[in-house]
Amino acid sequence: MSAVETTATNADAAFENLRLELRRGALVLAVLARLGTEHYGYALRKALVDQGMDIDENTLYPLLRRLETQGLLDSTWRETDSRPKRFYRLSAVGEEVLDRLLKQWRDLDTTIRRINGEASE
Amino acid sequence: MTLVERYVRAVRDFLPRGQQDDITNELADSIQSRFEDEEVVRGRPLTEDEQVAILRSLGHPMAVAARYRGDDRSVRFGGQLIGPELFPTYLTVLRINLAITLIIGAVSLIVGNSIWSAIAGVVVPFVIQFTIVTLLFIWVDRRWLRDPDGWDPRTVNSMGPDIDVSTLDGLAVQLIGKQHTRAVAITTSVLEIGLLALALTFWLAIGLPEQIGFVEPGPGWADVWLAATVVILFALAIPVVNLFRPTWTRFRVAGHALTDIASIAILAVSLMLGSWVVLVDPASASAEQQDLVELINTIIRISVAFTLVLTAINAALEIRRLVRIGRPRSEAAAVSNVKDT
Repeated sequence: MSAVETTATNADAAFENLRLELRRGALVLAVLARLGTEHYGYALRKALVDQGMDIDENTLYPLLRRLETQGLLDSTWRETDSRPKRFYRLSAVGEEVLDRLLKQWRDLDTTIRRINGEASE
Repeated sequence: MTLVERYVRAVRDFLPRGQQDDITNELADSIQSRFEDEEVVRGRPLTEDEQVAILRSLGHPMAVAARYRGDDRSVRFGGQLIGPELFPTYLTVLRINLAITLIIGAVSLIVGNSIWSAIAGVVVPFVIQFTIVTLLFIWVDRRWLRDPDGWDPRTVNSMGPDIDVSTLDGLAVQLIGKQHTRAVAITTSVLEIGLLALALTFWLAIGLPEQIGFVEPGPGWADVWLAATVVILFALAIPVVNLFRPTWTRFRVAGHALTDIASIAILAVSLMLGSWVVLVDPASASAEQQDLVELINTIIRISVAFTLVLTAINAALEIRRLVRIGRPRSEAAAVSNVKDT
């Protein structure tokens, strides 16, 4: 492998690690934002994917459980389409946390744009 | 049992006990919903191969369950070598090995009176075991968990009553979902080679020392050591042969029966000979030293007797299996998997 190829591979690996790190927080925000209205897991995943936030089952379901454990989500089991499904929605605490996170997200976006020399909106 | 039920049952085994029902119900619904969506898109029911492809895309049941455990620890050196799915098991195996090694080290310290012999008795075997165990887990991680074709949702099994995970064959079936009923699975042979190599390492590390502090090996140890080494080497040769000749199932069962019979003979001779450690100079030994030697011999006597009983039971089972196996089948039939049995 040439030096140029090695550098490109290292850059790709570094980018992938940083992208995943950046995406992790954004996923939580997207899930919380979407659960302002009630969804069951599979429908939530479809809604997120349809809106451009790709997420696989193995990431989404453990994340939902974690957020529920933290008190940000409420869930109930209900029979729909002759199968029991678990429906999630934001709890009162979750709504408050989402509001604060969204404000933080917008502030960060503005700051990064400013640092990057982009025109302020 | 449907493919989804089979898959979800396999995931269930690796989940925390209190959350099994909750998680598997949700997972089953999610998979079923995905199947239904795909059927709407295609305008027809999914074929078995299409269902298998979707389940494979979800990942090995062990990998799926690991995400719920929330334990992200892994072994990394540059890239990931042992993922979070296997890491807890890897850690448990290392801890057991370390505990056994420390017990041997403690005994060496008591009877050897030398801190250096005890350290050498702990460090060297543990480094060897650490290397073997780590390499084995890296291989398992690559072979089964990272390779989507390394397991089969059609035959992956739950650790239910139908699978005996106490045997290496059962464990291999659980992990890769393939069962070679008339051939020895490569996985089984590799696991056996690893475990027997560990046993041999321990045995050779203990060796046949001339003198350890104020004691030396007694006849129960010294007179059978060489024979026992030969039996361990023979036992190690069986999976090595099966690795290259997996259809030699009669050889394997006969080999195991022979190993058990030889082990029974050695253990019986060892029990009759009696003393495993003796005082180098009984005349000048203190009362404490005599008591310690007596205690060590009593512990070993109980262990040998217990092992003798277990080996006799195992030998009876192996001989019964040998009788049942009958004539060997043809080479072509031998490599069929569970699907056609």
